[in-house]
Amino acid sequence: MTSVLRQALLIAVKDLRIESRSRQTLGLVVVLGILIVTVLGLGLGSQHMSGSAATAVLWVAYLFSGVLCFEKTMTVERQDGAMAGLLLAPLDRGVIYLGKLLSNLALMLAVAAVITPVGVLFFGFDLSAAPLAFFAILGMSMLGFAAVGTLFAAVVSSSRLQGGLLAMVVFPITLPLVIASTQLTARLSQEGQSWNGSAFAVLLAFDVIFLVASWLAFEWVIEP
Amino acid sequence: MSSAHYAITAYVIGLGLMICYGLVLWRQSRAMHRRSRGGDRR
Amino acid sequence: MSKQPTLLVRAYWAAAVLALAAAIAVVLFYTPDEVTMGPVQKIFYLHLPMAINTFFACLLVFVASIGYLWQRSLWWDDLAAAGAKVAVLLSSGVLATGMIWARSAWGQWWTWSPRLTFSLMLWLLYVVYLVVRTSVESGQRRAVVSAVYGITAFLDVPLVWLSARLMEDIHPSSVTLSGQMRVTLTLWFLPVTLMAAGLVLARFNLTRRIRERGLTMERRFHPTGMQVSQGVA
Repeated sequence: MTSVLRQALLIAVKDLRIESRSRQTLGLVVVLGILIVTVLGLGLGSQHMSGSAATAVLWVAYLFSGVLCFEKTMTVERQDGAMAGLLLAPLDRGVIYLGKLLSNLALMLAVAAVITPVGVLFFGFDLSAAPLAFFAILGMSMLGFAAVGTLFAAVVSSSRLQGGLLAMVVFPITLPLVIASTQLTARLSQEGQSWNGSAFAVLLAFDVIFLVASWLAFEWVIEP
Repeated sequence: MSSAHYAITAYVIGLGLMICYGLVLWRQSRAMHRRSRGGDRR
Repeated sequence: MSKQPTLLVRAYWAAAVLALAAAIAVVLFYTPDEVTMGPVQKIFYLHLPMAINTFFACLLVFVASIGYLWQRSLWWDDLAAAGAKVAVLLSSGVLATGMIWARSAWGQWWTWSPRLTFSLMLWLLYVVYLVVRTSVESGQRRAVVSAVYGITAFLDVPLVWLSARLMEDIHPSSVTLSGQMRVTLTLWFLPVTLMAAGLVLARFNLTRRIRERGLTMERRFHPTGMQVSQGVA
């Protein structure tokens, strides 16, 4: 068990080290996220936004920037036949999936760390009621999104990549995440609201089902 | 539009979709038959 | 390869047409109007069978996608594609009839109610399946991408349904069906299912024949590499 985690971390650390040297993707993605939040902020123009509306805005920013992150961590392996090398290594294919998932999550969290405060600033929504719950919900949503995105980035990457293909594939699958997380966060900014158990159940079920399914399917679809 | 008109429209659209698709498939199938018999080659 | 539609195929479609005619007659003359909503409630007899068949078409895509990943034969891919096309067709019908119902019953073409939201999300899931197929060059790679998506999409369906139920239901409608209505509903399943299954098989058959013809032409003219037939993806 620990060796699986260690191997996955090795892959993730490798990806992140590559990224930290060039810093191109992270910069682009963060700026894109800020731009998206700005556009929506200008367009919606409200002084005070409800919890669910703010979550939706952040979600749009996360989705678009997330997809770019997923594409990057996969195309990194396309260069110089790195994927072939990775596949030849005595690794369980599932470990490669976990490693990629971890690097995708790290990138998404890094982006979120910048975009979320910006969103809070622009829309002025009040997190003080339950800040931990808010971040926990967003974290779980990002996990589910990355689980699906990592798989499809691998599936889609070796074809002649048409722009937007990965985004188009991932968005409809992850709509339940959007619904569940916005429903959950809507209650947070209102005092005395009960916890939405069914929404949380959907979020949890999504994460579990797609983590397992993607991890299993990855082996069947990855190729040099 | 009365209630009955809405119902009729719904049936026309719902059934129409299926019937039209069936007709399209049928025509393509007929075209294939003609070609495979050595018909006009374009 | 058989050239003319066989007797079985003709008989099948004749039966489907007859069933449809009978079902239409029944809904026009036999079925009573619902007390509170009036004639528009009759949309239900078409809407529900189409919805159930959509589900089975999606299930077919799921099974065929697994079949492809397991055997790596394009036969399965062609089956999945046929299922998906019919799934989108039926889903469009479900969405359209649902919207017409909403407009007639509640005055709005669209609400984010659980049923309509679910219909929309399901429609999107499988429309994307079809668009993915046009975005990737045909062959094994397209089949792999489609198969993974086909499996994922179907696994997503229960989650889509559950999350749609989280949406506000402004107009919860509970209709109790009388005996005559139940008969009508059951009866309508026959023509709709016959047509849906028939369309899947027709589409699959056509795709297979196109593919086989392409192979035959290739084999006949291969030595010179001359391409005589129009390549069909």
